[in-house]
Amino acid sequence: MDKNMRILVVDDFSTMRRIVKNLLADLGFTNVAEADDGNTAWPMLEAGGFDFVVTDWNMPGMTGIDLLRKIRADARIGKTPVLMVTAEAQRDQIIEAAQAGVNGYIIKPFTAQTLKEKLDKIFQRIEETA
Amino acid sequence: MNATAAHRKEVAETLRGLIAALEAGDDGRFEAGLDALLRAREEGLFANVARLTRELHKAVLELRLDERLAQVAGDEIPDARHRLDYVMQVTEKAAHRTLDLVDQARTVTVGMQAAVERLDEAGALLREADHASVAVMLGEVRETLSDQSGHLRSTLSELAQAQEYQDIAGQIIKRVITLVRNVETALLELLRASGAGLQQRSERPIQALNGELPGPAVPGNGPAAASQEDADDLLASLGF
Repeated sequence: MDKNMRILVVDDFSTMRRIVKNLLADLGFTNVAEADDGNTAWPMLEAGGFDFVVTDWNMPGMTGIDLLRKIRADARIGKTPVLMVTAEAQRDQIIEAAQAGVNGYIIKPFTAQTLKEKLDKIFQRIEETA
Repeated sequence: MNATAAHRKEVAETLRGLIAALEAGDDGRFEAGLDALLRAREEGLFANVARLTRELHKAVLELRLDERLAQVAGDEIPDARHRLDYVMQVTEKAAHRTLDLVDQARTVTVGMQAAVERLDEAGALLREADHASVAVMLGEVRETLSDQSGHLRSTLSELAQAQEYQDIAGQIIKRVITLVRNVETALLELLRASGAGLQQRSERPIQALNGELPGPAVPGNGPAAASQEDADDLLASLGF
Protein backbone atom coordinates (compact mmCIF):
# COMPACT_ATOMS: atom_id res chain seq x y z
CA MET A 1 0.00 0.00 0.00
CA ASP A 2 1.44 3.36 -1.06
CA LYS A 3 1.64 5.59 2.02
CA ASN A 4 1.88 8.65 -0.22
CA MET A 5 -1.43 7.99 -1.98
CA ARG A 6 -3.77 10.98 -2.13
CA ILE A 7 -6.89 10.54 0.02
CA LEU A 8 -10.09 12.65 0.05
CA VAL A 9 -12.06 12.70 3.32
CA VAL A 10 -15.70 13.83 2.85
CA ASP A 11 -17.83 14.62 5.94
CA ASP A 12 -20.05 17.58 6.86
CA PHE A 13 -18.73 17.64 10.47
CA SER A 14 -15.31 19.26 10.72
CA THR A 15 -14.53 17.31 13.93
CA MET A 16 -15.18 14.01 12.15
CA ARG A 17 -12.92 15.02 9.23
CA ARG A 18 -10.21 15.87 11.74
CA ILE A 19 -10.58 12.56 13.58
CA VAL A 20 -10.41 10.53 10.34
CA LYS A 21 -7.41 12.61 9.21
CA ASN A 22 -5.62 11.96 12.54
CA LEU A 23 -6.30 8.23 12.33
CA LEU A 24 -5.02 8.12 8.76
CA ALA A 25 -1.90 10.03 9.88
CA ASP A 26 -1.33 7.40 12.60
CA LEU A 27 -1.46 4.75 9.87
CA GLY A 28 1.15 6.72 7.90
CA PHE A 29 -1.13 8.42 5.35
CA THR A 30 -0.49 12.16 5.39
CA ASN A 31 -1.46 13.18 1.84
CA VAL A 32 -5.07 13.95 2.78
CA ALA A 33 -7.55 16.58 1.51
CA GLU A 34 -11.00 17.40 2.91
CA ALA A 35 -14.46 18.22 1.52
CA ASP A 36 -17.66 18.95 3.47
CA ASP A 37 -20.14 17.22 1.13
CA GLY A 38 -20.48 15.57 -2.28
CA ASN A 39 -20.91 18.87 -4.09
CA THR A 40 -17.57 20.13 -2.76
CA ALA A 41 -15.87 16.76 -3.28
CA TRP A 42 -16.95 16.24 -6.91
CA PRO A 43 -14.92 19.02 -8.60
CA MET A 44 -11.87 17.99 -6.54
CA LEU A 45 -12.25 14.37 -7.67
CA GLU A 46 -12.94 15.43 -11.26
CA ALA A 47 -9.68 17.40 -11.28
CA GLY A 48 -8.00 14.03 -10.73
CA GLY A 49 -5.13 12.75 -8.60
CA PHE A 50 -7.09 11.06 -5.80
CA ASP A 51 -6.32 7.41 -5.09
CA PHE A 52 -8.88 6.80 -2.36
CA VAL A 53 -12.12 8.36 -0.99
CA VAL A 54 -13.43 8.10 2.59
CA THR A 55 -16.99 9.46 2.74
CA ASP A 56 -19.85 9.93 5.18
CA TRP A 57 -23.36 9.10 3.89
CA ASN A 58 -25.76 11.67 5.36
CA MET A 59 -24.61 15.15 4.30
CA PRO A 60 -26.47 18.25 3.11
CA GLY A 61 -26.05 19.04 -0.57
CA MET A 62 -24.86 15.83 -2.19
CA THR A 63 -24.94 12.71 0.02
CA GLY A 64 -22.19 10.11 0.15
CA ILE A 65 -24.25 7.48 -1.69
CA ASP A 66 -24.91 9.93 -4.56
CA LEU A 67 -21.22 10.83 -4.66
CA LEU A 68 -20.37 7.12 -4.82
CA ARG A 69 -22.81 6.58 -7.72
CA LYS A 70 -21.42 9.63 -9.51
CA ILE A 71 -17.85 8.34 -9.15
CA ARG A 72 -18.82 4.86 -10.43
CA ALA A 73 -20.64 6.40 -13.41
CA ASP A 74 -17.58 8.40 -14.47
CA ALA A 75 -15.21 6.80 -17.01
CA ARG A 76 -12.11 8.64 -15.71
CA ILE A 77 -12.38 8.08 -11.95
CA GLY A 78 -14.96 5.24 -11.84
CA LYS A 79 -12.49 2.75 -10.33
CA THR A 80 -11.42 4.92 -7.36
CA PRO A 81 -11.89 2.86 -4.17
CA VAL A 82 -14.53 4.34 -1.82
CA LEU A 83 -14.87 3.60 1.90
CA MET A 84 -18.18 4.61 3.49
CA VAL A 85 -17.92 5.73 7.14
CA THR A 86 -21.44 6.38 8.40
CA ALA A 87 -23.88 6.23 11.31
CA GLU A 88 -26.45 4.57 9.02
CA ALA A 89 -26.63 1.08 10.47
CA GLN A 90 -29.73 -0.42 8.82
CA ARG A 91 -29.45 -3.52 6.63
CA ASP A 92 -31.15 -1.73 3.72
CA GLN A 93 -28.52 1.02 3.74
CA ILE A 94 -25.61 -1.43 3.79
CA ILE A 95 -27.12 -3.35 0.85
CA GLU A 96 -27.79 -0.10 -1.04
CA ALA A 97 -24.16 0.96 -0.59
CA ALA A 98 -22.94 -2.47 -1.73
CA GLN A 99 -25.13 -2.29 -4.84
CA ALA A 100 -23.80 1.20 -5.58
CA GLY A 101 -20.28 -0.28 -5.61
CA VAL A 102 -18.78 0.65 -2.23
CA ASN A 103 -15.43 -0.97 -1.35
CA GLY A 104 -15.87 -0.94 2.44
CA TYR A 105 -18.49 0.04 5.04
CA ILE A 106 -17.68 1.29 8.55
CA ILE A 107 -20.40 2.08 11.09
CA LYS A 108 -19.85 5.07 13.39
CA PRO A 109 -18.71 5.17 16.12
CA PHE A 110 -15.67 3.17 15.03
CA THR A 111 -12.16 2.38 16.24
CA ALA A 112 -8.72 2.99 14.71
CA GLN A 113 -8.38 -0.80 14.44
CA THR A 114 -11.55 -1.09 12.27
CA LEU A 115 -10.28 1.65 9.94
CA LYS A 116 -6.94 -0.13 9.58
CA GLU A 117 -8.60 -3.49 8.87
CA LYS A 118 -10.88 -2.06 6.17
CA LEU A 119 -8.03 -0.15 4.49
CA ASP A 120 -5.84 -3.27 4.48
CA LYS A 121 -8.68 -5.37 3.06
CA ILE A 122 -9.59 -2.88 0.34
CA PHE A 123 -6.02 -2.53 -0.94
CA GLN A 124 -5.31 -6.24 -0.60
CA ARG A 125 -8.31 -6.90 -2.90
CA ILE A 126 -7.15 -4.27 -5.37
CA GLU A 127 -3.69 -5.83 -5.52
CA GLU A 128 -5.19 -9.30 -6.00
CA THR A 129 -7.35 -8.19 -8.93
CA ALA A 130 -4.65 -5.96 -10.48
CA MET B 1 -93.49 10.48 30.24
CA ASN B 2 -90.13 11.63 28.95
CA ALA B 3 -89.37 14.55 26.62
CA THR B 4 -89.21 12.44 23.46
CA ALA B 5 -92.59 10.75 24.15
CA ALA B 6 -94.20 14.16 24.88
CA HIS B 7 -92.71 15.50 21.67
CA ARG B 8 -94.02 12.48 19.70
CA LYS B 9 -97.53 12.99 21.13
CA GLU B 10 -97.45 16.67 20.25
CA VAL B 11 -96.36 15.92 16.64
CA ALA B 12 -99.10 13.23 16.30
CA GLU B 13 -101.76 15.73 17.44
CA THR B 14 -100.49 18.36 14.99
CA LEU B 15 -100.53 15.77 12.15
CA ARG B 16 -104.10 14.68 13.05
CA GLY B 17 -105.11 18.37 12.95
CA LEU B 18 -103.44 18.71 9.54
CA ILE B 19 -105.28 15.63 8.14
CA ALA B 20 -108.56 16.96 9.47
CA ALA B 21 -107.90 20.35 7.79
CA LEU B 22 -106.93 18.60 4.52
CA GLU B 23 -110.07 16.40 4.53
CA ALA B 24 -112.24 19.42 5.39
CA GLY B 25 -110.73 21.24 2.38
CA ASP B 26 -109.32 24.03 4.65
CA ASP B 27 -106.13 24.66 2.58
CA GLY B 28 -105.13 27.79 4.53
CA ARG B 29 -105.08 25.99 7.90
CA PHE B 30 -103.25 22.96 6.37
CA GLU B 31 -100.43 25.08 4.80
CA ALA B 32 -99.95 27.16 7.96
CA GLY B 33 -99.86 24.03 10.14
CA LEU B 34 -97.30 22.27 7.86
CA ASP B 35 -95.02 25.38 7.85
CA ALA B 36 -95.11 25.55 11.65
CA LEU B 37 -94.17 21.85 11.91
CA LEU B 38 -91.13 22.21 9.57
CA ARG B 39 -89.95 25.38 11.32
CA ALA B 40 -90.05 23.65 14.70
CA ARG B 41 -87.94 20.84 13.29
CA GLU B 42 -85.24 23.24 11.96
CA GLU B 43 -85.15 25.17 15.21
CA GLY B 44 -84.54 21.93 17.12
CA LEU B 45 -81.53 21.14 14.93
CA PHE B 46 -80.05 24.63 15.43
CA ALA B 47 -80.54 24.37 19.15
CA ASN B 48 -78.67 21.05 19.22
CA VAL B 49 -75.71 22.45 17.21
CA ALA B 50 -75.54 25.48 19.48
CA ARG B 51 -75.57 23.27 22.59
CA LEU B 52 -72.74 21.07 21.22
CA THR B 53 -70.67 24.15 20.34
CA ARG B 54 -71.14 25.57 23.84
CA GLU B 55 -70.13 22.25 25.42
CA LEU B 56 -66.97 21.92 23.31
CA HIS B 57 -65.96 25.48 24.04
CA LYS B 58 -66.50 24.89 27.76
CA ALA B 59 -64.45 21.69 27.66
CA VAL B 60 -61.57 23.45 25.89
CA LEU B 61 -61.71 26.31 28.40
CA GLU B 62 -61.69 23.91 31.32
CA LEU B 63 -58.58 22.21 29.96
CA ARG B 64 -56.97 25.63 29.31
CA LEU B 65 -55.62 23.95 26.20
CA ASP B 66 -55.64 26.95 23.92
CA GLU B 67 -53.53 28.86 26.42
CA ARG B 68 -51.12 25.99 26.99
CA LEU B 69 -50.71 25.17 23.33
CA ALA B 70 -50.14 28.82 22.50
CA GLN B 71 -47.41 28.93 25.12
CA VAL B 72 -45.81 25.74 23.83
CA ALA B 73 -45.90 26.79 20.18
CA GLY B 74 -45.05 30.44 20.77
CA ASP B 75 -42.34 30.28 23.43
CA GLU B 76 -41.27 26.83 24.46
CA ILE B 77 -40.55 25.26 21.08
CA PRO B 78 -38.43 28.20 19.78
CA ASP B 79 -36.66 28.14 23.15
CA ALA B 80 -35.96 24.41 22.81
CA ARG B 81 -34.66 24.91 19.28
CA HIS B 82 -32.32 27.62 20.52
CA ARG B 83 -31.10 25.38 23.34
CA LEU B 84 -30.39 22.50 20.99
CA ASP B 85 -28.47 24.85 18.67
CA TYR B 86 -26.39 25.79 21.67
CA VAL B 87 -25.76 22.11 22.50
CA MET B 88 -24.45 21.71 18.95
CA GLN B 89 -22.08 24.65 19.37
CA VAL B 90 -20.84 23.52 22.79
CA THR B 91 -20.19 19.93 21.70
CA GLU B 92 -18.45 21.00 18.49
CA LYS B 93 -16.22 23.44 20.36
CA ALA B 94 -15.36 20.80 22.99
CA ALA B 95 -14.52 18.23 20.31
CA HIS B 96 -12.14 20.67 18.59
CA ARG B 97 -10.58 21.65 21.92
CA THR B 98 -10.03 17.96 22.71
CA LEU B 99 -8.45 17.37 19.31
CA ASP B 100 -6.17 20.42 19.79
CA LEU B 101 -5.00 19.02 23.12
CA VAL B 102 -4.39 15.60 21.57
CA ASP B 103 -2.21 17.33 18.96
CA GLN B 104 -0.28 19.03 21.78
CA ALA B 105 0.20 15.71 23.56
CA ARG B 106 1.57 14.25 20.31
CA THR B 107 4.30 16.91 20.17
CA VAL B 108 5.22 15.98 23.75
CA THR B 109 5.89 12.41 22.62
CA VAL B 110 8.22 13.79 19.92
CA GLY B 111 10.23 15.54 22.68
CA MET B 112 10.33 12.36 24.74
CA GLN B 113 11.56 10.37 21.74
CA ALA B 114 14.39 12.90 21.30
CA ALA B 115 15.33 12.36 24.96
CA VAL B 116 15.45 8.61 24.41
CA GLU B 117 17.85 9.15 21.49
CA ARG B 118 20.09 11.29 23.71
CA LEU B 119 20.15 8.46 26.26
CA ASP B 120 21.34 6.10 23.51
CA GLU B 121 24.16 8.51 22.71
CA ALA B 122 25.02 8.79 26.41
CA GLY B 123 25.14 4.99 26.61
CA ALA B 124 27.68 4.93 23.74
CA LEU B 125 29.87 7.55 25.48
CA LEU B 126 29.65 5.60 28.72
CA ARG B 127 31.12 2.59 26.95
CA GLU B 128 34.01 4.87 25.86
CA ALA B 129 34.32 5.94 29.52
CA ASP B 130 33.78 9.66 28.71
CA HIS B 131 32.09 10.28 32.05
CA ALA B 132 32.14 14.08 31.95
CA SER B 133 30.16 14.20 28.66
CA VAL B 134 27.74 11.56 29.96
CA ALA B 135 27.03 13.68 33.03
CA VAL B 136 26.21 16.74 30.81
CA MET B 137 23.96 14.64 28.58
CA LEU B 138 22.11 13.07 31.49
CA GLY B 139 21.50 16.57 32.83
CA GLU B 140 19.99 17.59 29.47
CA VAL B 141 17.81 14.52 29.30
CA ARG B 142 16.64 15.15 32.83
CA GLU B 143 15.63 18.74 31.84
CA THR B 144 13.82 17.53 28.71
CA LEU B 145 11.87 14.82 30.51
CA SER B 146 10.96 17.17 33.33
CA ASP B 147 9.67 19.74 30.80
CA GLN B 148 7.77 17.18 28.76
CA SER B 149 6.11 15.53 31.73
CA GLY B 150 5.00 18.99 32.90
CA HIS B 151 3.47 19.67 29.48
CA LEU B 152 1.83 16.30 29.38
CA ARG B 153 0.35 16.73 32.86
CA SER B 154 -1.21 20.11 32.02
CA THR B 155 -2.46 18.84 28.64
CA LEU B 156 -4.14 15.89 30.31
CA SER B 157 -5.85 18.03 32.95
CA GLU B 158 -7.12 20.40 30.24
CA LEU B 159 -8.29 17.38 28.31
CA ALA B 160 -10.29 16.25 31.32
CA GLN B 161 -11.67 19.76 31.79
CA ALA B 162 -12.77 19.93 28.17
CA GLN B 163 -15.32 17.20 28.98
CA GLU B 164 -17.35 19.64 31.09
CA TYR B 165 -19.52 20.28 28.03
CA GLN B 166 -21.24 16.95 28.79
CA ASP B 167 -22.71 18.43 31.97
CA ILE B 168 -24.06 21.51 30.19
CA ALA B 169 -25.29 19.63 27.13
CA GLY B 170 -26.86 16.96 29.32
CA GLN B 171 -28.81 19.49 31.40
CA ILE B 172 -30.09 21.29 28.30
CA ILE B 173 -31.15 18.06 26.62
CA LYS B 174 -33.02 17.02 29.80
CA ARG B 175 -35.01 20.27 29.68
CA VAL B 176 -35.89 19.71 26.05
CA ILE B 177 -37.02 16.15 26.84
CA THR B 178 -39.36 17.57 29.53
CA LEU B 179 -40.77 20.06 27.02
CA VAL B 180 -41.39 17.33 24.46
CA ARG B 181 -43.21 15.30 27.12
CA ASN B 182 -45.42 18.33 27.96
CA VAL B 183 -46.27 18.86 24.30
CA GLU B 184 -47.14 15.17 24.00
CA THR B 185 -49.49 15.34 27.02
CA ALA B 186 -51.18 18.51 25.75
CA LEU B 187 -51.71 17.02 22.30
CA LEU B 188 -53.15 13.81 23.76
CA GLU B 189 -55.61 15.85 25.87
CA LEU B 190 -56.58 17.83 22.79
CA LEU B 191 -57.22 14.60 20.89
CA ARG B 192 -59.43 13.26 23.69
CA ALA B 193 -61.31 16.58 24.05
CA SER B 194 -62.02 16.72 20.34
CA GLY B 195 -63.45 13.19 20.61
CA ALA B 196 -61.25 11.88 17.85
CA GLY B 197 -59.98 9.14 20.14
CA LEU B 198 -56.62 7.56 19.68
CA GLN B 199 -56.01 5.73 16.48
CA GLN B 200 -53.73 2.74 16.58
CA ARG B 201 -50.35 3.80 17.91
CA SER B 202 -47.77 4.30 15.21
CA GLU B 203 -44.80 1.97 15.42
CA ARG B 204 -42.26 4.78 15.15
CA PRO B 205 -43.15 8.12 16.77
CA ILE B 206 -41.29 10.07 14.11
CA GLN B 207 -41.85 8.52 10.72
CA ALA B 208 -38.90 8.90 8.38
CA LEU B 209 -39.87 11.16 5.53
CA ASN B 210 -39.79 9.69 2.09
CA GLY B 211 -36.15 9.12 1.18
CA GLU B 212 -34.90 10.29 4.57
CA LEU B 213 -32.20 8.19 6.22
CA PRO B 214 -32.81 6.57 9.62
CA GLY B 215 -29.70 8.29 11.07
CA PRO B 216 -27.59 7.12 14.02
CA ALA B 217 -29.05 4.11 15.81
CA VAL B 218 -30.38 4.83 19.33
CA PRO B 219 -30.64 1.74 21.57
CA GLY B 220 -34.30 0.77 22.12
CA ASN B 221 -35.59 2.93 19.23
CA GLY B 222 -36.78 1.57 15.91
CA PRO B 223 -35.62 -1.56 14.11
CA ALA B 224 -32.43 -3.25 15.33
CA ALA B 225 -29.26 -1.68 13.93
CA ALA B 226 -26.38 -3.62 12.45
CA SER B 227 -23.07 -3.79 14.32
CA GLN B 228 -19.77 -3.56 12.43
CA GLU B 229 -19.68 -7.38 12.56
CA ASP B 230 -23.21 -7.66 11.11
CA ALA B 231 -22.22 -5.25 8.35
CA ASP B 232 -19.08 -7.27 7.58
CA ASP B 233 -21.11 -10.52 7.44
CA LEU B 234 -23.75 -8.94 5.23
CA LEU B 235 -21.14 -7.57 2.82
CA ALA B 236 -19.33 -10.93 2.81
CA SER B 237 -22.61 -12.66 1.88
CA LEU B 238 -22.92 -10.21 -1.03
CA GLY B 239 -19.47 -11.19 -2.24
CA PHE B 240 -17.40 -8.39 -0.67
